[in-house]
Amino acid sequence: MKRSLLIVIVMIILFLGQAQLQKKLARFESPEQETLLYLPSGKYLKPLALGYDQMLADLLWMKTISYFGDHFMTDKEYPWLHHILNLIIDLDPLFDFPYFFGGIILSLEASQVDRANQILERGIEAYPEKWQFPFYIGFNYYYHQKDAEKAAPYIEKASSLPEAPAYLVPLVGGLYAKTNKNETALRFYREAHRNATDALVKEHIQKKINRILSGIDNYDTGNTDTTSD
Amino acid sequence: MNVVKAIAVNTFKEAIRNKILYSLIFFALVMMGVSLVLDQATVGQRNKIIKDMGLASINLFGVMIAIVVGIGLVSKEIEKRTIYTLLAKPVHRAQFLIGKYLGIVLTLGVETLLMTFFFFLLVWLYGGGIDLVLLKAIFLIFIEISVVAAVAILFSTFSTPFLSGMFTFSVYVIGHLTEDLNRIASSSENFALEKLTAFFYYLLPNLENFNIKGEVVYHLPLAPGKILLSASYGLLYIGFLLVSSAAFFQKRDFK
Repeated sequence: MKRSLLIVIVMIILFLGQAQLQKKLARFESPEQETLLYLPSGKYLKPLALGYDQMLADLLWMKTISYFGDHFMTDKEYPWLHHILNLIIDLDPLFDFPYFFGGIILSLEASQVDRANQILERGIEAYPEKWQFPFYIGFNYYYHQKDAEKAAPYIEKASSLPEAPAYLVPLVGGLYAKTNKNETALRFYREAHRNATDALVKEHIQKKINRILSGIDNYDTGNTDTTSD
Repeated sequence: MNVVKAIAVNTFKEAIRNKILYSLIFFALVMMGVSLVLDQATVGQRNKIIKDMGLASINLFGVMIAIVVGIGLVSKEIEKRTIYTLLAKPVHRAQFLIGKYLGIVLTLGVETLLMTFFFFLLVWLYGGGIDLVLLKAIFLIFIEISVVAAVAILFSTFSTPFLSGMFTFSVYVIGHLTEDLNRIASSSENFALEKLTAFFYYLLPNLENFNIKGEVVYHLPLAPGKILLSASYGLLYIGFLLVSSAAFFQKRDFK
């Protein structure tokens, strides 16, 4: 009886001792960005995944969410977000959520617009039929960098993809208006007119073409009535 | 045939007696842990992550069991000296080995079946419905772990359990990197290196042939005949390993 009591006491002492040491050791742990620093590039990580690519991508995705959450609540700096998102995409290119997350969060939260667009370009590669990825690139160029000239071709591309909302067509016209390019706007509207299946939309676009041809809307001089879009 | 069947059934019973199926509890715990973490730590595509994790766990647990059970089969019989009694009877050494292998495959089959049931239950609970396409990946995972078990048996015929475990695990790792070997072979300008890498490319099992986890989760179309071809490749490779094992085992001296 005494012997078993002694064993239990020793066990408790050892357990509490290791717990205390763990507590102390936790203070020496490197900050999060340093642990992410050691993640190799996806080129090397993929073969090392031994066929568990998707699972590894999921685990990294969870890590991304916690990394974002930690920094969102503290310094709002995300130096490794782009790297870790690229890794996830290398491992599982069809996992579409990281493209959306990177495309929006990197530009809106981290002010890394070029990196956001790089992630979105990879999204276009993986999902060429998804209109959202070129749309977000266009949005990033226009909203964050005030560059309508770069934004317009992407929104134009988005508007031509399946399931793209109808409001993208006038949006492209509006963007070309801002770049003062009469000819480009006309080219785009003619193409949109040719592809439109809805009679009402066709009629609306034709009106727009007529306004440019008659000189009422002049994108070269910037004299346009965007309300009619 | 009856001899092989008797040995296989006995091996299966022995595995059950050794509480191999208890590993299912760990599988269940891992899956439950994953689902709990998912509730807290993920945004988007929860079903996709559950499916990825489930398939990966079935694969990983299957490989671990194949290695752990496979490496000890022959050595245990020698250690317990039951091999003398067995081989004194009209049992050919090859029959003994094939019986043992089929026993492991039966154990792995039952284990995979139970894990699949639990996995489908979890997917269903998370609102993912019953996605029968996942069975295609699980079928190829089963072939893969059967190949790994055959590799373990091959090493166990001439090596100690510890070394057999190390060798089998190495083959498992390299088996997923053979495509890279092939790439090295095709891009090498050194004739000897090219031939050597090409030799190892065909000698070692290409376990990536059995990996369609990504394709089934995303419901991507598989190349026609891919599953049949991969399964046939697996069966031929298992045949090659068992014949080699039998040849080694035949020569082994039990003194």
